[in-house]
Amino acid sequence: MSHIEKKGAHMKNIRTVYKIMVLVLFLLPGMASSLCGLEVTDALGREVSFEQQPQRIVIAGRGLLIVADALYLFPEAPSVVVAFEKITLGKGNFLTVVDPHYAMKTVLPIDVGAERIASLRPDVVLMKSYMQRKLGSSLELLGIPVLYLDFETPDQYERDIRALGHLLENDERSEEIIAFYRGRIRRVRERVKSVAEQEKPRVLFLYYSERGGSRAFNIPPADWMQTIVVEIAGGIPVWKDIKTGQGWTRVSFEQIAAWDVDHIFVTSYFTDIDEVKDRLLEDPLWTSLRAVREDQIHAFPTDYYNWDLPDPRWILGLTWLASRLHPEEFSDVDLMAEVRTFFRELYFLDEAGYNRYIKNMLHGDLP
Amino acid sequence: MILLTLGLVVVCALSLFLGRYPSAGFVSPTALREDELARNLIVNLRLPRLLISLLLGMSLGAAGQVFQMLFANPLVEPGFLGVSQGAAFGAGLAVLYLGNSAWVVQAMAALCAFCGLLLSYVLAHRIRFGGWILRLVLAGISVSALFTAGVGVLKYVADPLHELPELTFWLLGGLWNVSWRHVYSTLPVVVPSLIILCSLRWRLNVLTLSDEVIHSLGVSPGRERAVLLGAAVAATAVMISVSGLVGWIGLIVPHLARRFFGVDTRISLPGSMVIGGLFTVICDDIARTAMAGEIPLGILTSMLGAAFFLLLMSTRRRATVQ
Repeated sequence: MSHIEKKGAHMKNIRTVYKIMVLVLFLLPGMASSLCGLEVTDALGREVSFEQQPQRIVIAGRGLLIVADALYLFPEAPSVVVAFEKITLGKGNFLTVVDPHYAMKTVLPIDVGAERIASLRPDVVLMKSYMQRKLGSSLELLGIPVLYLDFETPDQYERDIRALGHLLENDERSEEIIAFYRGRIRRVRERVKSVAEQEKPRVLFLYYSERGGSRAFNIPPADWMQTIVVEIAGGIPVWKDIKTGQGWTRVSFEQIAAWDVDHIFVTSYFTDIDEVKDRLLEDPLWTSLRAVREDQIHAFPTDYYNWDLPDPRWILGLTWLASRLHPEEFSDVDLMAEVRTFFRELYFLDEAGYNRYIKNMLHGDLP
Repeated sequence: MILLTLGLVVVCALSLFLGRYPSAGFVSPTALREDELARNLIVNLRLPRLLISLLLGMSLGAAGQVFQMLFANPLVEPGFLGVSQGAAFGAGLAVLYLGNSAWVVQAMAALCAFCGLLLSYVLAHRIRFGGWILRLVLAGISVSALFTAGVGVLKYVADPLHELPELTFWLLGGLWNVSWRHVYSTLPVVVPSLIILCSLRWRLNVLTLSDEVIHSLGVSPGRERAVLLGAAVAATAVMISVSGLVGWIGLIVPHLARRFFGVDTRISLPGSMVIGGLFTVICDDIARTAMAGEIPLGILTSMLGAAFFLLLMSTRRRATVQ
């Protein structure tokens, strides 16, 4: 072989090596992924790896009903959820409606410890991100994967629904859900965008609580869903600039009167909201408020759970609230049809299921 | 004393016009004439709240003075004999397990406060060493610790979303839900108790002496102490059942009163009542006016009371010329 031929063969070998290297570089991530199975990014930005799709999911920690209700938006949920902490909020257990295998699930006590959860041998534990220090870190030490979720704002909803879709290897379903929410939000934004800033109604959102014979009115922090929903719906949340703590802040009647708002929305998580509104309408102090005199005090709707919570139902709460603030812009929206559509498309409840499980649970100022 | 009393009257009068409506600050008389809601607010919300805060301060101030004189210990306060923690435990039980009635909460708080006192007395009789006062102090500490543990258990089992925040807010103390109903329910106990304490105040000077000297003066120390303690605890228990745990007033106010008026209880006891009332009314005004959200009264009394106390104790008393 001549020198030139040898050089040509050498160059050919180098090109072949380069091609193999490029091929390997392209294939390597896929190979790595198939070796690791699945990777999901959670609310804390952590990459959680699974060898295969989890088949045993436990939901634990405070705020779990929000995580559970979001997980059950996916048809796979009933077959993969094995246990959850006891849910104490709400007027019933909605999971018994959407999970035909509910009786076979393990209901854990409130504030359950890591050891008890570990005994269930979960493939993953879902919880809110603020539970990391109290519960999540202990589970991580035991080598149990934990996926942290938030579901506190519309943006977090999109992110966390995608995470769940990826976890259940059903990205198509997560995009359907996101499209549903985006469509409803877009409709509200478009219809209220013509309302000038100075014409937007001033709104007060109150959580009514009653314990030990004493009643209290509380406002949410500025970064909670209740405040965000009022803004999206074209209202001005009068409490937004007040320095509150991390949770509900108690306000006096004097402060409520001083705000002199156009609309008052009242929610109650443990007392019947219709009863609450009736009591307020019988109170001579409350009836002297302008919003009450003008019949602009509204009982926030609820079925199993309240529509103001960052439960998936918040999208119903948004539509309802916008229709109350701007009735002329939403006069064509059939709210009860919206409710049916919500449960049909998101929770696969047909008309019979809706009539049986949901219709009689509805309370609040609904048509 | 006269100046202080006048000051109290002025502060009370101003408090009626101070609030968050129609804006944070004082409401003008003109606005008051034209605004029916403002008048309603003053009569139905501010006035009962003012009366309760006044009674609370006077009760805790007087009771604190009685306790510190009887126990010859400047660190005791009205809730000392298991009274405060007993009331907290009773209220917690009612909030969690006995329904939503305000009467039940008040009754349970008062009942458990008296149980705390009774338990302290019974235990004190069973302790085999030390004088009566020492035995009562030890028993009081133990009973308070027991009830504190009970409150801890209640907080642990309380629903973290619903019951625990309510319980916590009660434990921090506050008058956010006071109405005329609370005034009517507390007056029949608090006013007679304060009258008893005032009319027997000079006895406190005698009761600080040893039992032998007291006997030689023709006074029955056991009976006298029981009457004074009973009246002090009654007023304290009933007010705590309405306001929740409001600390530091009963501890600091007697010191302030003795600082201004001397140790003679004929003057320092009424002084404690006036200073206690003044301090509590001012703290409650801040609690309901400073921010849009209610500040728990107990936080303010602790914060301001401790700060003012430190300031006063660190300044030298001006020498009087005889």
